[in-house]
Amino acid sequence: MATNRTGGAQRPNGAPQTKVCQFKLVLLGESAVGKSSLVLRFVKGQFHEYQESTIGAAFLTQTVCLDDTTVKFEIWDTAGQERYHSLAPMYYRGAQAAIVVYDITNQDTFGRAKNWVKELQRQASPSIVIALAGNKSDLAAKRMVEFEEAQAYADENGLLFMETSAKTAMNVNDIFLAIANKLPKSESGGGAGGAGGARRLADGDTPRASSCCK
Amino acid sequence: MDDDLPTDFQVIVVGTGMVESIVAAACSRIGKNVLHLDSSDHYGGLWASYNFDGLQKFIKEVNSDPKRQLQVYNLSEKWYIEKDSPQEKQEDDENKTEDSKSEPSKKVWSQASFATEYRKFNIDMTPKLLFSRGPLVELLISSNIARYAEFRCVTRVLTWLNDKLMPVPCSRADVFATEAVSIVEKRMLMKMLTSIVGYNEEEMNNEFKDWNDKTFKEYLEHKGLTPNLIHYVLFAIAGGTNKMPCLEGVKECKKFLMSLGRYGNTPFLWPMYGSGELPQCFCRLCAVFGGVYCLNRPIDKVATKTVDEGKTVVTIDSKSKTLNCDHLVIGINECPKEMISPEPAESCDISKAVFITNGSIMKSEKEPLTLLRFPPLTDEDNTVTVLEVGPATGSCPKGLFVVYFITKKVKTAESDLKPYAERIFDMSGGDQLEASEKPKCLWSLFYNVRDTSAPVSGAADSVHVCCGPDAGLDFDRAVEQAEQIFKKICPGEEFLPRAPDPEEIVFEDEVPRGPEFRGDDADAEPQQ
Repeated sequence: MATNRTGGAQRPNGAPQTKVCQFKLVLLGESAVGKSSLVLRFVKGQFHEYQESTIGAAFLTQTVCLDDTTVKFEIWDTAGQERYHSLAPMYYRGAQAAIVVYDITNQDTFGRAKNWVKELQRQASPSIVIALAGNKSDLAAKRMVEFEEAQAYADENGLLFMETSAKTAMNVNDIFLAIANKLPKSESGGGAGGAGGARRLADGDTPRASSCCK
Repeated sequence: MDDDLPTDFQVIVVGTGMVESIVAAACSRIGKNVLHLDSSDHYGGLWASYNFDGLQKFIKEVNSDPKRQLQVYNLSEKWYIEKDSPQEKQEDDENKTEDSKSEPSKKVWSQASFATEYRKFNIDMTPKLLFSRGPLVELLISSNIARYAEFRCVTRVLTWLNDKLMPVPCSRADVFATEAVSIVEKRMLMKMLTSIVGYNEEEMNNEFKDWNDKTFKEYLEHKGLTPNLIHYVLFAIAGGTNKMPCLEGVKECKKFLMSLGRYGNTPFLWPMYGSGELPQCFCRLCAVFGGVYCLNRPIDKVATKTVDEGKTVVTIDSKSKTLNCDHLVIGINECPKEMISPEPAESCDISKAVFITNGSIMKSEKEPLTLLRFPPLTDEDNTVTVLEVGPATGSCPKGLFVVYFITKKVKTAESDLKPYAERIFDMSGGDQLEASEKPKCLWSLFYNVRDTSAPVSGAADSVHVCCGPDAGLDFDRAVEQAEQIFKKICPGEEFLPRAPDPEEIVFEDEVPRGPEFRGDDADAEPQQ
């Protein structure tokens, strides 16, 4: 959806400006692995131990500054539609990045994460950047998924990989930063869906009906 | 897998078509506890869009399942290209990566290359446009669901006049710029259009007082319009026929004119990745507000029972589980017959066709997005609506166009629509590289759809039956019906009030709050 918008980068004169690129990032993973918690930590710096299933939050936005580029993430949460395997394809439409999350204390969630990776490889844009996040690394004592196993899987599939903790904030910013670095920042580099020139509808885009027809 | 599906809901919605999805979103939005099911493994029902692989499955399913043929029939698929193209095989081995940038239009397509690129297709079963100031656009904006979808403007409206395609001047600027219309004609046209914009149903203006029982064509003739102008207004703008009643024509014209100037040169928008995205956008809102989603969940039986205090509960048997709800909202194609009352009346079915071609029906500098309205070629026929969408809409790979044909059924989809297709495509199956005026048709699909768009009622007050797709150009009937159903379920409640932007949401917990969060996400602007 979000294509790279190179704000002001093409001004004919004056100093080069920081390029602003906007990317759609989707979260995937089994229920209760901490998808929303990761985002909440990243976007708001908050963590709630007993975070209810996400209600009312459609997506959040957060920016990451790289050397010459500002990357604005538009982060989409599954809104629980993954629970009974009913995530709508519109969810991944035009997504340039995805974080597939599993819980390091639960082997099943790792298996499901692999399925999500497959699903993305099948359904999403071929150029999508995928990161694998082994969340709840603060619970290492209850670990059921070995770091090396996940790392090997990620390497095989060309995924970024980190173990994260939304609770302690470990690697949360880092994983988003790593994604931001890997995303193509050229104007048409996103290549996702070729949505350039498509528009969102919003109130007040243009004069209301009354001004032209009445 | 879904054994832990809860069983008690205020509202259960069965089917993920447009009407069902809007009702689901509206109920969930105001706090109803909603379960949304679909018997198939994808969203949309007859409103779905498919990639090329999904479409092949759909065709197979319909051909092998007599039950599906009650909805979709006379399905006929045809290829006009080779299974494999010899050139392609060599190229593929050397350079497997996207070579779409280099000479996309020169590619020789084969059935195999369609299969390789199947993911780049999004082919709609119910392609529809949105009027820029129509009820769906207003609803998407006012509910804030618009942020889930992107749109493209239809770039031109064409018609078939004097045996060729002609652009229809839409806007004031177009009217003045066009050379096809003389200055005198322009004045007449503008005057007539102004009086149409002034039309108001309630306080019937003098202008239209005596036109109740006459045709729109008679009105246009009375206004002294030349035959060319009558053609533009009657067929292309109003989408009518010679028999169109005057006031209906006036209303259609007004709708067209009122939607001009908001987003682009024409009054129309097309959703990125196709019309099938829109039900999913409403489903997402439903989920965001707590709606539970479960695809692949056929229902076996629906019954109503009265519990104590005379309250009626609808029970649904599904996969050896009984689900209970106060209100059942169900798509007409999923609804058991005994739950529909009365039987829907026989109506005029719809003839549809999809073509994949190697070029636009009329060349233009930028990739066009076209609405073409064919006047009926015979007295028996109805207007044929044609939509041509290209790669920029996410509908197909570069170098191709997807073209939809829709009309009311007379005989069969193929016999109703083929004569029109032959006017604008080269359907000979000849050499794709050969230069020709008309684009080559590479693949076609004809099918009839039963018209289930007439509103019907459920057999009980707590069963609400949603209509299927109609033959119309827009989604207006679906939106209207969804709102009516919602008002029956939730009388007095607001229909899809604006959902907050993420920045407006305060996360609250049972647990004591930590230090007050101060917005450090100043960059996060509300999504426009």
